Amino acid sequence: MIHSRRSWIFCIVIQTAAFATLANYLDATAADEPPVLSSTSGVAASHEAVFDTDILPLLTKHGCNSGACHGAAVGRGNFALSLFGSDPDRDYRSIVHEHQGRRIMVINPESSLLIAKPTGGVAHGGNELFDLGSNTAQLLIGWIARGAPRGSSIDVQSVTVQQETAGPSTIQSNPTGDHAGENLPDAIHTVRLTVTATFADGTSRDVTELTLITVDPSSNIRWSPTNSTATLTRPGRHVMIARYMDRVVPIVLLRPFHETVADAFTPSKEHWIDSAIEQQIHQLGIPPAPAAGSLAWFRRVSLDLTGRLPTPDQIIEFQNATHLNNRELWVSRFLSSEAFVDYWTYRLARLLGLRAIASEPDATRAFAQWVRNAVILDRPYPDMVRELILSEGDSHIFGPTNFARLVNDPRSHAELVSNVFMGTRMQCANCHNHPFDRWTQDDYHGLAAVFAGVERGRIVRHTSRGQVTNLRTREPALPRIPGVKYIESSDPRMGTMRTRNASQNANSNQPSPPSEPHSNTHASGAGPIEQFANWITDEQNPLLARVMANRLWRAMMGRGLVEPSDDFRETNPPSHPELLNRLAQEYRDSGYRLRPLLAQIALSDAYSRSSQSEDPRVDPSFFAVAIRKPLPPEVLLDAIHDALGVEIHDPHSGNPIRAVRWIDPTEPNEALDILGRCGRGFSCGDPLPSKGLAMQLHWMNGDVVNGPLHSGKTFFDPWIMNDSPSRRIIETAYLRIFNREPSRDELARWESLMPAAIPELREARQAWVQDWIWSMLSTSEFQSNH
Amino acid sequence: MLTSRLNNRRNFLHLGGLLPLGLGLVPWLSRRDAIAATTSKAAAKSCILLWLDGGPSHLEMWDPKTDAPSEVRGPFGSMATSIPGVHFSENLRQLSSLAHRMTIIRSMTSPLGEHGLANNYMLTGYQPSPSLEYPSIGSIVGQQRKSNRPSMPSYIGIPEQRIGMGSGFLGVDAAPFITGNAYSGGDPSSSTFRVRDLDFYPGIDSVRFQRRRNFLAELEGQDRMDTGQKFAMGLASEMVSSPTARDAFDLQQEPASVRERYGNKTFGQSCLLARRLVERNVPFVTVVQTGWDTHENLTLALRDGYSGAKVGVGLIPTFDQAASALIEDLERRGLLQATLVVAMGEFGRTPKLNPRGGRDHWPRVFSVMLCGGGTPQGLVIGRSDRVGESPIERPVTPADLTRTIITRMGIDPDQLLQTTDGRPIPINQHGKSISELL
Repeated sequence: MIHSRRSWIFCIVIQTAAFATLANYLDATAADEPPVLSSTSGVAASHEAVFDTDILPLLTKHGCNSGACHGAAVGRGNFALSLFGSDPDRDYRSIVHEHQGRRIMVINPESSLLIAKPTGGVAHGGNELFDLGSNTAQLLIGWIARGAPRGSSIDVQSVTVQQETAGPSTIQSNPTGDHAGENLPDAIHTVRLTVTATFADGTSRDVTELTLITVDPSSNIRWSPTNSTATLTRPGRHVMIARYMDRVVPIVLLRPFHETVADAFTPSKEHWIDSAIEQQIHQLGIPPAPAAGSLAWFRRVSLDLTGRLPTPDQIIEFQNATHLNNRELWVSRFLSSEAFVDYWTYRLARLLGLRAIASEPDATRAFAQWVRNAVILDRPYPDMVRELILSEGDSHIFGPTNFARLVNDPRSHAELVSNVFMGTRMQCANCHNHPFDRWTQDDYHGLAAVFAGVERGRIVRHTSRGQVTNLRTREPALPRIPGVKYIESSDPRMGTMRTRNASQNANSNQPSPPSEPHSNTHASGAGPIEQFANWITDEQNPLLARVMANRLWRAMMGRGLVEPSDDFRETNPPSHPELLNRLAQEYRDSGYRLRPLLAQIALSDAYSRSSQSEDPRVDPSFFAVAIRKPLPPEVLLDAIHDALGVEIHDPHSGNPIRAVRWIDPTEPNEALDILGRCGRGFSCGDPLPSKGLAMQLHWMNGDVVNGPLHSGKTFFDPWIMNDSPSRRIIETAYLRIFNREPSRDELARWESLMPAAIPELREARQAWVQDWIWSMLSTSEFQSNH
Repeated sequence: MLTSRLNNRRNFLHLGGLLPLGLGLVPWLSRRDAIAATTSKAAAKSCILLWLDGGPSHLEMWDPKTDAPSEVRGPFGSMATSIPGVHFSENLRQLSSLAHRMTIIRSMTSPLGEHGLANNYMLTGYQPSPSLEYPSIGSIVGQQRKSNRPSMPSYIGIPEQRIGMGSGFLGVDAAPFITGNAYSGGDPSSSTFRVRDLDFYPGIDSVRFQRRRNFLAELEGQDRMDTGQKFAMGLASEMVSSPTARDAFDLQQEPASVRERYGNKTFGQSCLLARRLVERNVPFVTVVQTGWDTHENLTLALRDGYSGAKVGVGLIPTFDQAASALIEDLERRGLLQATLVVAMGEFGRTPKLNPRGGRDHWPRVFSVMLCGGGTPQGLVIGRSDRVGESPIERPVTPADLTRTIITRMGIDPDQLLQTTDGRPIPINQHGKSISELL
């Protein structure tokens, strides 16, 4: 059975900026007085409550159908509701007809269990939720007294949230200096919100009282349900979630850090990235950090593009260059280097979840080589995605077939595909409709059904065998493009497509994926897998570009515009919606290739800012200051060896090797395990080094640093032996390890401490230099990209 | 996956049906006053968790069914304990005489019958979720009880880490310090046992070591290191340079008679090491005994240890010797009142023997032993049915148990923890404390 609600138009999100939208606010509210919300006038007087649009949302608002209460799969106390009211038919039956009709009593509504339980008249495991005199109780009683009408089932088309009241005039009249905002009473950071629903029949009304507003307890918003006001207790960007019927809408509120009245923002930069970033910084009243020094930028861009520290020769060449486009030249040199291929092969392999298949080294090698070739050629991402999804054949020869072998069953395949390509976490929808997202169980099992026929042996094949059971219907799931349409087909290879829904998404921030592949090259007759591949890689489908552009941004900037980067959903809005659109567009326009977008980011001012934060309260998501990124374990291991001038040797062949080329994370490697490399899980876009106790002990006493440091083969060992001047050792160490020159003080300090360059002190001098360099390698200046 | 979910659901309904009847509430209510005297209000200082990995059989340990048909009863008999009317399996010879010190929960129940999932539930109190890794109780206690300038880690795992023991979203500085790892044994029963990386690198002495730390402090400046790293670095230095850690891990300092009393197996010597650690105020120690996934030949695995053994050296005698030694030793040293000892695994075993003379996974009912740390002495909570198939009195979920342990350790179970992306998660969400234990 296909539920009609799937076909609703997606909700509109209004970003409500508490003060930045003053002008809009005045325009919007000049004519009308805001409605008073403390009585039921908005709901009961003008409109008779019916089940779907009033009663069910009310139950949601009070948590009755949450997962912890009656919304649990098995219900609670023999009373089961669908999670967040996703199945009104069932809920109506359950409330009005089941339990011998005792849940509602039309003759004497107040004795209905629906009233008596939550008001404390009868013992209730969920405690007393509202009292008999409350609007909620009265609304329920009125509904029951009128015979508990179901009413006509009507779809909601959009839900909008508007700012009703604020105290902007207070701010304008009270600019008392830079930090004024912190001392102002909270009252002026309070906004009243109204929620308006527009229904399929064109009518709309105020549903504020029927809307569940969820505020993350860790956020700095105080939400008062009684008068529908949100108070921003700290400066910054804050998000609340509004839920009415099946619509979930994020509400974004901004409170500036510095509340001196700012002039209108005029972008001073030509770079589109900078105008987007600086606009928000301006709104929030944060001073952006100054530009990083040119050597800091050079180290940063070298690590981000090649996973390597710049060599002393490169640094000197960069410093001595006089031409104006020096940075552009170096970015393109890095992008065309072998090191870029090594590093981005490693990153892409982690993203795709590449790992060894037990005792089939040929398969791993083929997959890794395929990724490497793709990076060398900078293949368009949709072409790669198509191969990863569609390839059949011998996995020992044709690399991308191994993608299907990373998982063991169709459901995991669906999760992998949605995670990597769609940037979403669909797992929740296995057992129930996703509570915070639009994914339904039909979507989840439908996507799994797309991959039901995949054979995952050495020879990967797409067959018409195999089935996935939809846990909701207990029937075989129909292949489905999640959120869009069913793929109807008796034979997965010979199916035809049936569109369930043409209009997908009216949200300007979340451009609509195409409901039909518009190109006629997608001939009918394609099976479900091919149809899915067509949909995900369609130029009109923004998803692939948005997800990947966000990941590339994150790789460079240390934080995604959508964060976590695999958690794209309506309720997790991007921090800079316009910028994400633009990044995705640029990525698409440059042929879905890595290098052009990475170059754009590397040359922006936002990328080039200093990482020295002046204001510790400033959230990194504003990009007002560069985010310090810990070096991934493989990069760190390479960096230790590069800084010391010692080679890593492959334990098998004995040949020199770089750690980033160990792309199979299951290959045993003690040093990398201790440094905390990404394990065997799914895609691991952002491996972080371990900083735990075992790692620290090993760092101090184990081989990982001490091994190469005490090998006698470092850059400084010959200089000890020939009694080179201390100054030379210190300057070189700074250049190799910190990629900068020592300050005069630093130089003088270490020169005064280092034992003298005489043969009698060689041993002491070597020990001293070893200890000093160990300490340099242990600093965050070395271990992070800043 | 599908079938296990369906089963879970059925189990849940089954239990739900029992609850409203309030079966058997009377006996424990009447005992409540009697035990109040022995239950301490003071929080326990340390917890030693004896983790019996693989799922120990409740029927061959704490909840024998001697009157049941032989395919349920299993190969062993039972014996009276120091609590009148309460019997343990006959292989828990020494622990039986200490029963009056313990609380046994015979009505543990969980819907999860797969090792990884069940480990997570028992050790974290949360049913596992694909989107969030929850921290183990060891990580929570360790993190909450971390002292400002410690010389020892606050959560230690001996000798290895099993699924569910990790720090989940609390991150690396709440992770257990594991005495062994995949690359070096770390087996306390070995004569060459030592914890890796506690000794200086060849050529480094305390003078050079201190010089390195001084240089680092000077290079790093005041606040550049992140707090977790700073903490780990400080602790690691302390562990290397002060004698506390070296002493704690040095089992050679124990008299031979004590080492013998614990038994010469890995588990026995690990328990002894655990005692040395709580003596030095380590708040949480998990000792792992593996091999409890006994799908075949219970006699061999649980009692004999090898075929033809005259004296059993299997899992239960090894456990019995070590756990009884630990309880006695803690008591003799006056540590038992402040040290909570818990013995548990991820689930129980099927009531009926399988054709291979073993038992398979059975989470619907199983048993847990607690002792010391101010818990009641000589109490049995809950009951399983005649064949050890379902709880028929006072079902206790893993969330209930972890909530109780957390509370017993003096930590507020409703306190909010932060995930790395800023989500607040309560230490325990779905559990109800076991009131008799508090």
